[in-house]
Amino acid sequence: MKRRDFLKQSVFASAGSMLIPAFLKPFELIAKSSLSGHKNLVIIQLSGGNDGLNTIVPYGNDVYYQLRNTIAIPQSEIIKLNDMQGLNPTLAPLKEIYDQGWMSIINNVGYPNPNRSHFRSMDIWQTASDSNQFLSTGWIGRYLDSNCQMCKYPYNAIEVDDTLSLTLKGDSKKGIALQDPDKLFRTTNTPFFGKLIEHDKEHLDEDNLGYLYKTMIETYSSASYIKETTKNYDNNFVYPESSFAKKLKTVARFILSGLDTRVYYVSLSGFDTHVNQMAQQKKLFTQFSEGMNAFVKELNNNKKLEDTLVIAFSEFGRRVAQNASRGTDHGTANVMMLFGGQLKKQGIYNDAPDLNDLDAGDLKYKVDFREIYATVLNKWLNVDNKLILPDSTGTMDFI
Amino acid sequence: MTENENFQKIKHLYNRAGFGLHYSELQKLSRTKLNKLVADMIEKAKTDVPITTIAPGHVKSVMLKNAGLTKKEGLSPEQLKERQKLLVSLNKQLKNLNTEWFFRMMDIDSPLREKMTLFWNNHFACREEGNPYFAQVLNNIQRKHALGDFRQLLLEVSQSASMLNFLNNQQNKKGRPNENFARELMELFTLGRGNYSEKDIKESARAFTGWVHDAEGNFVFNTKNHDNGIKTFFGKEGNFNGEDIIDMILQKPEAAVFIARKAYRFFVNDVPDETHVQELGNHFYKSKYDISVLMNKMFTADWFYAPENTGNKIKSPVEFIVGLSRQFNVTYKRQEIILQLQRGLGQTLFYPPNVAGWAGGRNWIDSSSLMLRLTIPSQILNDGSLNFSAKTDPDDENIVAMKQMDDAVIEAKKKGSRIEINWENFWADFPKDYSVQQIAGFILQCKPSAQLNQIISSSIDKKNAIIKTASSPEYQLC
Repeated sequence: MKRRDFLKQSVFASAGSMLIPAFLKPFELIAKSSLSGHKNLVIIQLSGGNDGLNTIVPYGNDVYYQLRNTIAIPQSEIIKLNDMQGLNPTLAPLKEIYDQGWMSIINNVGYPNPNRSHFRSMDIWQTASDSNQFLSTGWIGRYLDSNCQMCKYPYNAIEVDDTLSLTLKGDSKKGIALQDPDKLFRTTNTPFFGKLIEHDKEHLDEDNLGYLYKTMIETYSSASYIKETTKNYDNNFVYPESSFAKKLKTVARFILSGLDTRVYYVSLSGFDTHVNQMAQQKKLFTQFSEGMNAFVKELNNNKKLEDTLVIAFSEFGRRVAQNASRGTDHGTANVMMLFGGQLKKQGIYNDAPDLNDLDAGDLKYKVDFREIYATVLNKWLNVDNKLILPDSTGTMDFI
Repeated sequence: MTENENFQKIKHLYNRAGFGLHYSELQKLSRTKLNKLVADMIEKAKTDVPITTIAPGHVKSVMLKNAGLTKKEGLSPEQLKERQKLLVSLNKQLKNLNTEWFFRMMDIDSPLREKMTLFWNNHFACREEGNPYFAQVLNNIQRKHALGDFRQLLLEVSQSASMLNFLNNQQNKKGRPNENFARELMELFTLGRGNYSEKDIKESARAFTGWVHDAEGNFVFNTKNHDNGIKTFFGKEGNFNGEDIIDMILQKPEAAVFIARKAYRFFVNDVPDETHVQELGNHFYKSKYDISVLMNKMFTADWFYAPENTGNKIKSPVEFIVGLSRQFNVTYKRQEIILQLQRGLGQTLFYPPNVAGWAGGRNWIDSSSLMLRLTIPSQILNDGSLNFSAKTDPDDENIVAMKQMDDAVIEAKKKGSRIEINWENFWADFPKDYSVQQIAGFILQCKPSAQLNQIISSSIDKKNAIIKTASSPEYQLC
């Protein structure tokens, strides 16, 4: 697109008029109700390697108590889900969600030849690569690259943070990171930047400078669009006081204001519990479960839970046996938690980890995480997963 | 050649071969002819000045052993605490190494040496998981041979503890070969895809069996684990060892062209001109892989200074931050700020994304990283502190976990991110009659847009005009 044409369609050519660029206007004009059909995916990254065995506890297995003599959760405290597994008591706020059928638990998720480095394993999860393969784009980034109808603009995938994760970086398209629509708007919509993007250039993306200006204009437009759209919705729903809950509240605001975004990304950090795991997990689980409880309820109150799917993952689980510091070291397969109003198989999806069949002290994975991604892409985001993941990846039946 | 032309060329040279220049430095240099300047620059960069931040012997296994803390089992709570402290101090060492190198780049002594080291550091991308000392050793190998003999560089890198670990050669044993190193050696370090077969990988992996390092990180050739059998490599048969394989690879002119292309993309243009690349590659090959010959050829070529190769490369985050810090005489009072800048913009030294290194070019730019780049200059130059939070360093996850902090990075930031700028020196560097437009023109490598020009000229405050210049898309290019 020539710069002139681009600007003609863009409000910035006529200063002082509406803040929404004309090319975004059709969405603005669509009534909120007609947008309610579009589905959202919320990805939650639990950074550091969450200990799945003390999250969804296999209390029915003696091996668990044998290998974790000082950090095992006593049977009496466990919130039992079936006769084998139960919730860590600090995840109590999830029980209510679980009972409503809004939570699914997938056990033994991992990948072949697991890597125990935080960096590397996180890369593998974010890029959906094989263990020995190096990809420079994230799986959601490749989803944006697939040119689907709703992956045209940076705000089609939003990370609630200051910087963008690899997951949301594609080859030609990338998502956008922001903590707060007002802050992003204030940063981008300064008179200085407004003046700059009137930049006189023939072709906006012909050279690197053109590419920089094009990205800047896209960001400027996205910031305006997000601010304008989200001011329609005021969340007065009460969330707990934690930065994680605050991020979820922001996601809820985005979803409920009808923002044209398919994917949201939120991280919670600090799960690398080598020492005194109980105290740290308690703190993080309180943030996680209270935040999720509020988020799911707010969406449900507004009839958007049906259109929302949340997947929570961590780069690896931890070793089955505890260490000598009342903590756990880096392991392999892990549990994944899913939330939403349209889960096909509510509750526990598959068999609990088999603690009698370990691989040198580690859980054996039964579900490749990419099958979960493929399922989400095919059945939720409605794109052909073959465009994004290896051909051979199968799909599952949780949605 | 007019002096003005020479001035512009040297400015371009120092932006690509270094991290930018002060006006007065450039003025001094512009009296010298370009060819001599390039030769001097290369000579100076050959002097080896290793980083010595981490003392030899500061190796995890050795330190744990000396302290009697090797195994966690059976330790008292106090000893466990001691052990954890030791591990945290190792992580801190990597941060010290990072900032030491960062300060080196800011130092004028030999910008080319550090720029070349950065190039090799990304070419032989390696992530050190537990021993910062090993990372320092590898970094010093890349520095020592930055402009030396490529074969020697390749050999020493291949035999460094960091690389032996990273590409699993420690596990490469007779009868149970691990092909990771052999594959990357050809795919990423020397030849590129299409110039070898899967069989060549399998066979050459056998030749590297027994290449390991000892506890201190010294290279050891473990003959017991070495496969002495006959290997078939590039169609030849023999009992080849690792050095033989390296020599056989370098006999292929394709290796010289591969390195030349990589250097071209780093120093000249993201999109290589194959004629120029071949020209460089042939020259490099004929010189028997003398890196200084390659770089001299590049920096003295007419096309290096052609308009299509000037002011159009997107700075890497490190180039961006180092350049800005040098230009404005920035002093960082806290180490964490430098790391936060690197993490926030997506390039942390010693943490390449993977063995292929940073992809570079337009990959640096997304909406969020661009907005950070456009606002960081005013955060630094106006406020003297940063108002964004970078993601937690994965190696700090355990610290976050231990301290039970809600958001360690934000907390650290609040404790005062002090940054100081010496504006007097900045202004004093330029001639007295220099206008603000001329200063802006100097800190940019490309022509400012009409809009930017107008903004600069209509600013009442000249400091403000300069900060805006540094906050523009134009400033992202070098």
